[in-house]
Amino acid sequence: MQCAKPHRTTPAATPIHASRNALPLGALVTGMLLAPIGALAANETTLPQITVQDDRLDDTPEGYQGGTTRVGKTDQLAKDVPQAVTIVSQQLIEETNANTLKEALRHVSGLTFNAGEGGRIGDNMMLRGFYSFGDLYLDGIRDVAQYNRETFNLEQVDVLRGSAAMLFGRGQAGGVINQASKQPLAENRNEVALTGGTDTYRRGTADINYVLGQHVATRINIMKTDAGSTRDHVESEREGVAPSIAFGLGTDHRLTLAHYYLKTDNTPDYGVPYFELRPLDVPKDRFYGTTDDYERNRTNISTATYEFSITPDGRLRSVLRHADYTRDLWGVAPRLAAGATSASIANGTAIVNRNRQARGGEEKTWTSQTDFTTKFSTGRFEHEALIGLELLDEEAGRWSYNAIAGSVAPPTTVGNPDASPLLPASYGNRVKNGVVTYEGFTWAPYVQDMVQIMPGWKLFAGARWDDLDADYSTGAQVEYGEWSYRAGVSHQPTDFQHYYFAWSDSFNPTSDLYQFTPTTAVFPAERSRTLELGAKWELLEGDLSLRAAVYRTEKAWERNTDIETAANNPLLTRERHTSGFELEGAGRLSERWELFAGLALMSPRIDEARPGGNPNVEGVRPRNAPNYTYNLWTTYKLDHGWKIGGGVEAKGERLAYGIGGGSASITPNKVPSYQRWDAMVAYEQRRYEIRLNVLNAFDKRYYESVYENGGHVVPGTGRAVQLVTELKF
Amino acid sequence: MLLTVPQVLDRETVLECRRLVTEADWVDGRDTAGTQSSQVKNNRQLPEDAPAATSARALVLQALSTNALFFTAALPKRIYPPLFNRYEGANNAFGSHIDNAIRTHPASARHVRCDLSATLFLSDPDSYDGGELVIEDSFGSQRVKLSAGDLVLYPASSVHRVEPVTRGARLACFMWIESMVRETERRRLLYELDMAILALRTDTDDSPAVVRLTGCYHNLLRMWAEV
Repeated sequence: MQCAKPHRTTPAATPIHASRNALPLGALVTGMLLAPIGALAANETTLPQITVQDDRLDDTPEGYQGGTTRVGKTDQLAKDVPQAVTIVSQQLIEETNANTLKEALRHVSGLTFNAGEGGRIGDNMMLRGFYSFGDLYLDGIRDVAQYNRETFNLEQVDVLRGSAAMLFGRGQAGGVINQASKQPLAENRNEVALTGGTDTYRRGTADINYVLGQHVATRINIMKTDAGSTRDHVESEREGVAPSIAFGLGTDHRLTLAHYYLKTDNTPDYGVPYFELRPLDVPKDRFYGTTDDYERNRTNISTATYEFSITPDGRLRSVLRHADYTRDLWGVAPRLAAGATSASIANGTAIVNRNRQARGGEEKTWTSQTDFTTKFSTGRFEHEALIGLELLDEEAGRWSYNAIAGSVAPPTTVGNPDASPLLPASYGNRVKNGVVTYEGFTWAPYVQDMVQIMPGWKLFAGARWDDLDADYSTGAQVEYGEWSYRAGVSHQPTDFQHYYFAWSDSFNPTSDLYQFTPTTAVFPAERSRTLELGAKWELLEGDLSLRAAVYRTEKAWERNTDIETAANNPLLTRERHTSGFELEGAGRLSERWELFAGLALMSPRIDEARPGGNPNVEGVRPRNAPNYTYNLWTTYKLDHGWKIGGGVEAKGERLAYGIGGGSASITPNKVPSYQRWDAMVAYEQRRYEIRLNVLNAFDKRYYESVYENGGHVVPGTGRAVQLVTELKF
Repeated sequence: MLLTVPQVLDRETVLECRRLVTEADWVDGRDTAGTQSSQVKNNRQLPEDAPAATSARALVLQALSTNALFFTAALPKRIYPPLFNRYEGANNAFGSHIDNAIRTHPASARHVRCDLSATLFLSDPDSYDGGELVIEDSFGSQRVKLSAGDLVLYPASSVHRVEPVTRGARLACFMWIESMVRETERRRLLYELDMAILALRTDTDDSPAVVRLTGCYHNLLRMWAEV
């Protein structure tokens, strides 16, 4: 029970005047007598970037093979992109019942999840050991706001590995995660799906595509989800609508107008604290937050895309987008109180403090992106050229909440957490601290050429100039002009083989997206570079794609992205790297047997501490960067429409520790390695499908998201069962 | 009475304070200690007039000025300007001592009687080992190590010490408060009464009994407070 009492309307004759807000008497007596001080300055804001767009007017790709993608800026088959690409296809998303972007990305090797604190909420991924939440894109356009992304309007998710600023603009080292939206199709096609499951899981989606005229079609995707979870008291409500309309389908001029709306309201889950450098050993459903905690996000993205096929080989594509995001968080992170011992944890009496995490933000961006692609020849050389220009206008404001005095969640105990404690009447009274704002404008021209120098051999090179001018309300100003490059050689002796050697780089001017800008020290932009040697094979007459890559990515001037320590410590490391090997397969082994699998071996290391930082970090494995991850999803078609499937997702041990100054030795928290198994059985008919998904079939306790600095770690789902009924008409 | 006031500073303010003081020039903590305690004091402190101390102090006072729990427990009359200390490396501990009874504010030359001491923790407890504030209170010895942003309020008359910091750094803000109610036991009584009335008022409509209790509170305060 809780006591957020309504205000009463019949004040008695008391010496305490009208305030019925139940403050202590002493507080009123003494008054707030200290001299008011100027507004708090919080050195942070938000800042983003630019990019391109995806269009898939043909039918959705079948199976787990990637098919076409625009991650290379032009429409390409994944096998032709001379860089490591993983495509999470719609079929994979559906068959694993991955309803959030995060769930869809479980199938991507070399990717791990960070847990948020107060500073960064929403989707937060690590790729190849590097943070990547600044490299989230929606149809090639920067979509880096803090929210929990859904899959209801996604056709597929492309993950391009390695530094990619030449293609996508400022970003980090690990790679780019691009969400490709569903687009209007030139055919009538409708799907409605209802899902029910354990832990009060309820979800309904509709995907309606309707041809309005000879060249005009409209599509609308709708979603409503209301779900509990295997964690006590953790709930999620989501609703989304994504209408779009396309004019000129099948003609030389095509215009698509689309809007995306998503509202999410969930219980922020900060998992469990650590004890003796390991996640606190408690049942995986145990929740230390309160039922009054919330995380609310609202996303509105409007996009207009115009494409003009000037010649059979020349195409102009211009995208204009306005995006508007708001978020609001009121949660608590559990921290073991001082004095916890093995005994007090074992008997459950150890105290868990609840660390308030409360803040909100608004972001608005305008993006314009224009690409012109063409083919031409100069003598014996065949060229594929790309010329583009991107403009990005950003505006962001963020704040923390200063709860009015005493309105904190009381501590609880390890053994018997009280999720509905007696909260002060003023709990959740949100007093906004000063809003820190950020305004930025970027313009970026880029050009790339891929030259066929002889049959089967191509050289490519590209360059992009990003010019950013930004102002923070804290007084900081950022002006950067940076070049990014991409170059390599690609050898395709046959349609079924592709070998490439590629070099690319990337930069990022501020600590991405928490926008922490030091006012006292100005550092160079983050810089990363990737060297990659890769091979892609199409086996079984193209039914099975296999790819392998060895790479080394180095990153200099790594920014701290965590408000937790950013104020003291804007730079995390001076130099670090990841060397690694990846192997992935996707496609069909036979008519009936399909699979999607990946293995990533990584050797990430910190090479040089930040200036003035703790030299003991050198040689240590970076945070949340396991030595290995692997994943498998496979299905087999039986007779009469039955299909069975299952898979595993595994991650090696991950570390979480603060990177500060001083000379203390580094003693990381260790998050144990895990394997999670899922299973599926489906009955598929032409007009309908019924599917049963079992998530975490062995009910394994594992930790999905790691808060990099330590402090807490969030368990993944326990065993859950979901039944999906889908109608097609 | 030893009282924890949680989350006096929110995360951002903690970070801002840390940033301010981290960049400042620290001096030997013995500079501000009396002759007796200087023998056991081994830490680093920010000079009172350091610009960083001034800015960080402003943040702390701002946060305190809206903290009802702090006010009702301390019933502050004057606060000696908060100071900042740092325990790490070789300067890592402060042995048992009692705080000076009277301090004179250098700028205004006004005296502050130190009835209450307060320590506001700025470092995250898992970022350092040791560094507990040990307070010999009427209820025995209490070891305090709080989350960054939390404050502990305790009688200045108690013997206390800071245990050696064996790993990392312990940053804290500390201050002394002259209360309108000089005696610890009276202050404690008022606090208990206040909290009981608050609980009643939260759970029920103001009954005549609550009104009379409220009157008692004010009359006690009238009797005891020096303003």
